[in-house]
Amino acid sequence: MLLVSGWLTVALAATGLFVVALVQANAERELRALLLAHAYNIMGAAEVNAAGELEADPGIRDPHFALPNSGWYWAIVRAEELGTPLVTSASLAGDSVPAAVDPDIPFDSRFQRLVQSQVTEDTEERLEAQVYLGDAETLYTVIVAANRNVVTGAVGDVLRILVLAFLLLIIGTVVVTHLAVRRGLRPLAEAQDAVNAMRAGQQVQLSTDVPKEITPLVEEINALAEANRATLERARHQVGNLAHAMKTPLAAALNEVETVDEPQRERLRQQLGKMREQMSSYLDRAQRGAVREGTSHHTMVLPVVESVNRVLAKLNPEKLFDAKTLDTALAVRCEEDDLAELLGTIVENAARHSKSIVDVEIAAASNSAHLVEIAISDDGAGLDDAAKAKALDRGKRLDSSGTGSGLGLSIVQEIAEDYSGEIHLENSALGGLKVVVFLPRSAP
Amino acid sequence: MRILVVEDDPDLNRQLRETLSEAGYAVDTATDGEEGHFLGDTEPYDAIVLDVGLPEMDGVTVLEQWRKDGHTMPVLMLTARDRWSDKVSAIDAGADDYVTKPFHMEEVLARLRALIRRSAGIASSVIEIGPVALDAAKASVTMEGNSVKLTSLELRLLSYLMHHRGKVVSRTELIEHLYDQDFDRDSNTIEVFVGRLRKKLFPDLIETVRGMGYRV
Repeated sequence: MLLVSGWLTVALAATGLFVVALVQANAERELRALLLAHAYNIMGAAEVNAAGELEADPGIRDPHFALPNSGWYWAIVRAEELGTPLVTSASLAGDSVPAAVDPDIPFDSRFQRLVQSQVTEDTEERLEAQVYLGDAETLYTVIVAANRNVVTGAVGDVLRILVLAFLLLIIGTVVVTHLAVRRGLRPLAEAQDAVNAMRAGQQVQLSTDVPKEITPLVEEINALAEANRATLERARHQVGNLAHAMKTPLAAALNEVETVDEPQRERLRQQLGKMREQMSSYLDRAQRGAVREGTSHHTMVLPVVESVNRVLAKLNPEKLFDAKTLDTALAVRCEEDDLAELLGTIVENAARHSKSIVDVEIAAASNSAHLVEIAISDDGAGLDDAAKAKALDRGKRLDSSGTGSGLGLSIVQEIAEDYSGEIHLENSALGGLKVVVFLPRSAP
Repeated sequence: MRILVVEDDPDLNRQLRETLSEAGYAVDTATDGEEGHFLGDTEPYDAIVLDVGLPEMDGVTVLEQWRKDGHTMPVLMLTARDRWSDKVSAIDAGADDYVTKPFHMEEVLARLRALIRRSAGIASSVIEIGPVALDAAKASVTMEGNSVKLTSLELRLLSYLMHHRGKVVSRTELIEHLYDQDFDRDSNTIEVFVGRLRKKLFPDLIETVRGMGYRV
């Protein structure tokens, strides 16, 4: 913007100077032509009467020549006596002819010269022409002077108009350029919004419906996002492979240890138990962490709930697993595997504690349009308020006897918190516990 | 009861075979997916323990293939991957249950028993016929409350017949489900075992259906 207005100012200033120079040159040429015309007029009107006196009445109508000190005057003098006028215009009546500022300028081949004099504040442009009048033996000088303010006035007028016009032009151009640039940059601003939406998990790719100038940029960003996702996917696979590679020998070792004699058996058991715990805890974190960094997610809830229910219905054929929703397209900003992990753990808990029914309801949260509410209810014994508070206390297990018999709520809470979600424990209408999960909603 | 174990880790494979044999099952083993698939496809197993990560052909593919070919035997999957997405893909492929590694042998045993019982349509772990009670979990038989000592093959035979209560079971079927692949099979031994069981329990427990087989 600054560059545009700067360049425009320089260009217009140069143009202005050029135009002013032209106008000035033209005005001066016209002034000289006028002086010459008057000079010839005066020469033609001058004659020497019978008394040998010079007379002239050129009949110049220009009122400047009647006004004393107007800077406009004419006179005829003897060539040798420049200061003493023989005949003058009314404007010079009674005065001597002002001296030229530069009297040494020579006459040219036509016996003319241009000099300047100073009567008024402005300088006068003066034409002097040497001519023989009457007996053709006496050389006279005809002098015509004009005030130079006609030239400066013309230049001033033009300059004022030019400055005004140029200012309007600069302002107009700056405004129009500003609008054009803003309009031209709008796709970039839109792309910026889209990138933000991508980071917030609302979209996976940028739209390629953009001006062709920024198409390569958009495609690059999309490729980058895709590469990022692929890398994370690979990391997750490698973590899974590591898990498999480690867990099989660990399983063999755990069982082999049973053939060892005490007290070594107990010591080995404890060490292997620690390995097992540490490994699964770190692997779980790595797997969850791997997919959470900076990528966006849009996961429909119902299919995940249905797949979890399908597994648990197969493992618990005597129990009923139900999924209800009014909006089958409800989606959350949560990675699909993590959502399965979160809901699977809760529904599995509910199944373990239920008598016969586990009910999952999916709905837009009633208190916020930005959240999805997933409620898992069972018809088990439920929890009293103290136990509920304790259950949500991270790391504390309600039931610490044996493996996997805790509520597993700490892992569930970790996942929910990673996605800015929340877990609430309530009483279910079926008589048991109702676990309510709030997760950020992903717009379609 | 005859069980197939498909597990590529040699130690784990051996441990599973030993544990299941001790529990009274006839056990065949395979160490890769292709061999496992072939055995499951051609031999009549009462249940299969199948690892997910196998060389040649992964467990999920093996299972999908069996189910596509109409095999309905219960399958217990062993998986190192304990994410829910892994459980979903195992169950969707047709697994009846899964155990995540590392595990204790008791857990595998308990799940297998439950699967076999469920596939026979029996709800309790104790099957009672008249005065005879078979406790699959304890691998023990009682007669009017008193413990009866049975050999492993006698127990297998009784267990199979009781799991298929009311159904006529042919000698060939019994042989296929009592012995593992490598056993030198002799159909006359079945008669010997049936005779011993009748003597140890009571004579009318096992009925001979002429030309067809036996029925409990």
